[in-house]
Amino acid sequence: MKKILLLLITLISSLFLTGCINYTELNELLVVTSIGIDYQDDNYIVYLYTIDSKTDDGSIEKEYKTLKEKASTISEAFTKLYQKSNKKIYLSHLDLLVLSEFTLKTDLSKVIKSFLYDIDNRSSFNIITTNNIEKLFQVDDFPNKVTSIFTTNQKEMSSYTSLNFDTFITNVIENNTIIVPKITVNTKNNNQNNKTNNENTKQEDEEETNVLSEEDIIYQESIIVKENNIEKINYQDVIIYNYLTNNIKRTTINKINVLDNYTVLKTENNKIKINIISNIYDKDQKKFPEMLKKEINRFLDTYYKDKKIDILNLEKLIYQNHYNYYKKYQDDLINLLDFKIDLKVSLVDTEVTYEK
Amino acid sequence: MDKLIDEIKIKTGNSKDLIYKSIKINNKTIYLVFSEVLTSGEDINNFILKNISKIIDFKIDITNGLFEFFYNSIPSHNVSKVSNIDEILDKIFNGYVVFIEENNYFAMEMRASLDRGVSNVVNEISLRGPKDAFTENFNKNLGLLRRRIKCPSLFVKDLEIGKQTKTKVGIAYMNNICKIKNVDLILEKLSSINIDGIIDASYLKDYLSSPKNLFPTVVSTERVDVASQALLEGKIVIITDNSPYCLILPSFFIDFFHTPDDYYQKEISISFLRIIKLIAFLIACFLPAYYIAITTHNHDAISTNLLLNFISQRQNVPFPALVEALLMTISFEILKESDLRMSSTMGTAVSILGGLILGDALVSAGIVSPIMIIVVATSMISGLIFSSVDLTSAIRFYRIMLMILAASLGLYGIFIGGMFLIIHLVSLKTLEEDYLAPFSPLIEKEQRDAIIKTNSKVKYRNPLLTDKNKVKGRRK
Amino acid sequence: MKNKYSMFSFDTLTFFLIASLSSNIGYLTFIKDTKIDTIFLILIGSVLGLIPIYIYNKIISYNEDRNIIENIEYLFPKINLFIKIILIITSFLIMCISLKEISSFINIYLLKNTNTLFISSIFLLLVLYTSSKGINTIVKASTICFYLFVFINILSIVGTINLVDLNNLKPLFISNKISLLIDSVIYSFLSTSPLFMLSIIKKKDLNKKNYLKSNLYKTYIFTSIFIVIEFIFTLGILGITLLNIYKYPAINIYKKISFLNIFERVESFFAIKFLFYSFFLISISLIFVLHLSKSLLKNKKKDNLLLASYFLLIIFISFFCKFDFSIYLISSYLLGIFIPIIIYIKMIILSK
Repeated sequence: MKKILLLLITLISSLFLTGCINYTELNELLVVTSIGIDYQDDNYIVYLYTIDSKTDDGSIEKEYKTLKEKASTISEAFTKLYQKSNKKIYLSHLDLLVLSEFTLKTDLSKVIKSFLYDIDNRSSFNIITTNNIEKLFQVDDFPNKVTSIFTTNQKEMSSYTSLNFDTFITNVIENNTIIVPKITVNTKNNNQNNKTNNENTKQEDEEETNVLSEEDIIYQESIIVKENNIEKINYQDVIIYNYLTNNIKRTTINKINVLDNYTVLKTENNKIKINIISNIYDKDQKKFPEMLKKEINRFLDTYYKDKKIDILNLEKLIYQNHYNYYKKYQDDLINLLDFKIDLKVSLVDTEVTYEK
Repeated sequence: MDKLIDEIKIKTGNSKDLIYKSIKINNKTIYLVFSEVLTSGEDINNFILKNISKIIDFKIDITNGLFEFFYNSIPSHNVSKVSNIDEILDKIFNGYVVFIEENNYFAMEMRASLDRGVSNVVNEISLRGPKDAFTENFNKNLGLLRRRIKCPSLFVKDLEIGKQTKTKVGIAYMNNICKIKNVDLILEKLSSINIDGIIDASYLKDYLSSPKNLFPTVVSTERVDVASQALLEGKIVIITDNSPYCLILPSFFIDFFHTPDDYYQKEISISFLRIIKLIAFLIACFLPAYYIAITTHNHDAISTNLLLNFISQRQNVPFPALVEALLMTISFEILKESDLRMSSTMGTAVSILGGLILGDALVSAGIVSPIMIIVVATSMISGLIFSSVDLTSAIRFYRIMLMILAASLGLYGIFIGGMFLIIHLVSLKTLEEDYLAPFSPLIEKEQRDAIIKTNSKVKYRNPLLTDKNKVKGRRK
Repeated sequence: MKNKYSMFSFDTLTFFLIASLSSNIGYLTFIKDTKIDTIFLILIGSVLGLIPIYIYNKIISYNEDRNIIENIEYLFPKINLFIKIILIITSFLIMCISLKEISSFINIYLLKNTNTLFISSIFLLLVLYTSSKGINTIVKASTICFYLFVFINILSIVGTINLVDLNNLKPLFISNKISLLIDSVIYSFLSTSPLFMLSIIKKKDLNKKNYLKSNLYKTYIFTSIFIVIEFIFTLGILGITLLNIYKYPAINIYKKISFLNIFERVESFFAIKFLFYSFFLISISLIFVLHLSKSLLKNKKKDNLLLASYFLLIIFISFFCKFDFSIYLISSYLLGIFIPIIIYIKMIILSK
């Protein structure tokens, strides 16, 4: 009896083992490292940036390709892309999601939904925006280059705020302000080059316009998104923003070198105390406190009083710490905020002490 | 007496290697019956025949008590009386000389030594430590053990197993340390064996542990220091005649990760080596399956650059990953087996061929990707780190099973295979003790020697093996 | 001679049973009502859960030679058939629900396109293999899985501790307090009901059996602290809005672990943690159901037929039926509170 049962079980399970549905060979995968979403005339344009690799006598060569499709919703565009490419689109290695400024003005929850329901999604990618998606996707291996720009910026200038997909989702659902870093693609230099080389044929002209190098991608500003409106913020203001949110590694403000800082924001109903401890070098000691206070006051005035944008998400902080006060004055909270800055400076020793 | 000799001749088929020597003393004949091939003729000449001829020469007057006279005076270290024909035949085929005189018989041991003497260890080599190994002679093996443990509580119980071979099997244990119920269990199991013959000690393994188990529960070793160490811990050693391997019971899973070098080197290096052995065990079982699962089902478990590397290497390969892996493992096994059976004169040519074929030619012909060779070779070499042949064959079986599961179910299949391994190991028993003993029923005092070796002031014995004499030694 | 179960192995098995359904069908179903106050829900529920454990201890220690089936036959000579049928149906339903949960989990994270029927049947084959070896193997296997579990948790804590934002744990005390109390009572018996199935073990088979009471309390407190810490980590990293969206938030925090640029993408390996939970729960409930149905049928030879028929029945039910949370609630209540209290009251009546 036992043997018959065992035989039955093995036969049935061996029937299942053949034809495994989830089996995909490596060659059937289309590895996507970046997706771009643009919005024009009520249509979404979706760009896919794919990598393929081949060997030639031991050395590995990578091939980069862009696929582009246009449809009225994002999921429709993805189905069209599936039909166009013969391979399975694989999104687990996604590094970067590029949204154009037009998409940032639309309803962002649709963008989120199309990614959340994808089965391969890992939600560990960053989000940036740019002025020209098509030109950006023509640069070779631009996701790695963009991430290297951002890491150097973070280490040397501290003028970069990273935006992860998870924080993006929370901020969209809770209606907070989102700061998206922007990459601008320079197209002016190529036009100038074309005018001087008159001897080249037309083919070479076209090739030259399409070739963009690493120096054409620059990071100068970020974009603030709040309720389908966008605003620009230049990188000096981003440095002050990082100061207030405790993200400084090493930077210069008005030619003064700062090593790092420690900022704490305390709220008491509508009064906000900002305690900053900052490490600077010995020589800049005298000018620094006043200069920094001036800069921070200027920053807070432009964004809280003039433009009425809650850039530091202080409403959420008050909601978390003082729930009853938040309930009462929910609608008018921006006008009631009162700031007080408390600044301490600590000195860092340098190699050389030079006194005049 | 003549009747008896005729009966012996009939029962042994009148074979020519049995010699019946008749001696006449004072009108009485006595017979000496012995087997020429099992006894040493020199000893018989020097000790028996010379003395008998002296007696005849000096014309000593013995009419009565011939039997008692010879029984007391012939110089032989092992003399015993026998009473019937079965015992006579038994003694003849054990290398004894049987002295027959009317109705009285006795036997003297004059055994020839047909073994190769105490030699060096061949398979389980250690860097520091004694190098003598067991031989095929029961007495010499027991002597090597008794030389190391000079305590009188080393008891040995004898058994004769095998209807045709009548092999002598000895069960050695320390009476003041070991649990007596373990000895009784082994005696019960061995005495109920009904088999034609025992050629080697491994025949006994099937009776001492269940043949359905994949993993070995009995350690067989040829080193004398390993066996004596096991005796001191409270384990039981089984010595078989005609076998240079002795069996040690009960042995736990962690004993296969211990080498004899563990007590001859420093503790830190030994702990490090044991951790490496555990990692090698995991690599040997799981690495090819993990590679197959990553490249076929779960591509999100590796980073982008590694994935691109694999894509570029698998471009030209015509087989799926499972077939490639099975091909490589089978060819490695064939190479290993043929290396073992080949004589040493042809060894170098075959290894060059194997390296060329498996290394260069397969890759450049585009049949196998280079990463697959690396993966399979690493796992095969990690599997060879253990000195027990049974464990390597169990690892081989699990490796193939896990590869098939991984190819059909990915990482989930590896989980299923891993749980199957854990449950199989946990349910094994060696001599009614749990196989994964210091870990699964957690014994804290044994942890100091299981994987990481530490020093403590008082050394305790394993409570699963002993219930008396629990302290090994103290340090001040 | 039968070996006794060691106390530490018994403790690890209770750990796995208590922590098994506490997250997915446990506190996450209440999170839309109680929001961040779920911390208090877990704490109050854990304190209230000490009462069912007291009752289970009394039931196991009532007579050292009898397990729960013989106790029921002794205490209720007339209605024991009825009680056994209730126990069979409730533990069977719990088994089917947890099997469905784990198959959907594996379908999302490990094998993406395959049918849940296939996944659950392979899982059930493994469970059948373990149940055929008896309770002793499960108890011993839980220690070894516990070592692996501790290793995984230490790595995950070390990898995610710098991502915790304590501001995500505020604001507290904003939800309805009455619903919080009711939900914490429900959570208390949801998390302790699988422990009743451990009464299939006779007390005389345990090593150091006099320490059973203190060990049960110790493991329960340890497990509750562990669940609270896990919840604080998930909430601190993800925030309350993402917890409402994701079905398995614990895996989502493992996606963020990144050590030294090498130790990345480990969520597929850490998913084993959840497979351990379901494996032990399903195997213990299968043994419970098997022992109960054997005592009903009183025929020792049809072991394998029973196993095979249960296999087909479980697959059929878990694949084709749709389960609501209320079915799980009712079966937990019956298994964990209703029937143990009846047994306890009868025990007190008989002793007087």
